[in-house]
Amino acid sequence: MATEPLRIPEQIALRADVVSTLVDEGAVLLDLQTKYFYSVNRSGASILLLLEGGASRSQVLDTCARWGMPANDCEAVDGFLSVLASEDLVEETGFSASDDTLTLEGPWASPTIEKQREPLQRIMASAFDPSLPLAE
Amino acid sequence: MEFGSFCCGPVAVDLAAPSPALCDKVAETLNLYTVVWKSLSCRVRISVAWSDQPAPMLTGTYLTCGRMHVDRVEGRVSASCRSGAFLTSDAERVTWTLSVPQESHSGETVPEDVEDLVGLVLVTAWRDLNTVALHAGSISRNGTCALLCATSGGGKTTLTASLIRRGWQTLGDDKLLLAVDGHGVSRLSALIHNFNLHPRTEMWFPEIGDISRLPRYSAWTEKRKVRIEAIWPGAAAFEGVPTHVLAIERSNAISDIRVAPMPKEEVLPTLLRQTVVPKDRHHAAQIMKALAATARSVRGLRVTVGQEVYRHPDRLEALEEVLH
Repeated sequence: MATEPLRIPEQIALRADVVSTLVDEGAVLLDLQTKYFYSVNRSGASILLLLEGGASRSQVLDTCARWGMPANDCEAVDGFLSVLASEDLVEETGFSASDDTLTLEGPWASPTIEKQREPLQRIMASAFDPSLPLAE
Repeated sequence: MEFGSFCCGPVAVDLAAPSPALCDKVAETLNLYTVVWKSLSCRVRISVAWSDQPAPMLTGTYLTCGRMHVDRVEGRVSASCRSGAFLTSDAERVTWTLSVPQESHSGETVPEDVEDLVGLVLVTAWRDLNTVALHAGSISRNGTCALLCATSGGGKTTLTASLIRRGWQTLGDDKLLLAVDGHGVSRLSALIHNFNLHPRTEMWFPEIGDISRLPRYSAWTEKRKVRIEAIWPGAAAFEGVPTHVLAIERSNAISDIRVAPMPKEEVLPTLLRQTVVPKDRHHAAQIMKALAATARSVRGLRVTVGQEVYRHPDRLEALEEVLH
């Protein structure tokens, strides 16, 4: 994944064909186009919930501060947003669904996102079988 | 006109076809689903017809399979196969029309890829019932119910059959339905009580006899259909609450079986690899939610099966001990 920070658009939202599911440790993101999936910790999962409706970088930082983010962790949040942008998981949007009721479960930790090294199959064997069979 | 009615898990399928060849080909796929469910939740109808022209391949905006592309627009599902066979549904996905190109009609030969279209009708109906179709095996005993996950040809069936011989039951080796109830409890249900065994496994299961004499599971594989209850009476189970997820792989580097804990964060990806996730946000979210609920309540294990394990089945004790 890219380590150089990219220019993040002013207002961003999760791309329409990126699906997020909450799990105990945070969330799992699945990009329906590339079939790559990503594991995100709890702080990252809460940021993703914010991004579902669209948010600006400053809204994200303000909300994270409300969740207990220390000031010196802004860089980690920017890094997280950069990865979302570089992996094409977010897109620019004109909407912003500011939600003051969103909470973070548990204490704040720097948001993390990890890409699984192998994607799901892009071409399935059939509507039932996701895997092309191994050579017999 | 030929007619037939079939029960495929919770779905009843009414079939109408203008010739025995067409009816038989579709029936071949529908008849795979040998488990009789106590009640049926919905009914669909497939009408098969000859067509004058092969249909062009669709884009595959909903699903891209090796032999079939599927589009979905406002509830209506359409699918095309490389043979030119074409499937389309109404907006409620209750009535389906399957068209088979006329030139493939010569000699009453129906293309093999029609089975993919029939399979799509079933998976769609199951999905509409909020169930997730899993390409996985399962074993159960005394409250333990383990999902066996691997790619096709990865060893699920052989391991399942070996454990059955040691007193385990099975929901099947290949196709299962997963549903999550209102309390978040996952439940697996059986669809097929036949195994698909490769003839080379005969050496480990002599009680089956000559596997190569049995009918093939499908034209694209050497595997044969083996009815579980005929060989191992009492081994067929119907439903269970999953307690474990096993990611299976084979290794020629070892001669026994190795079992290691799977990190919690790998359980959901392991399950995701055993199902087809369409390129539709709503359905993908539905599938992921069900699998995430399952992943929360199971223990994951990585199982590496060495080449000598099936010659010395007592070596399976190492896995059985961990499962209890």
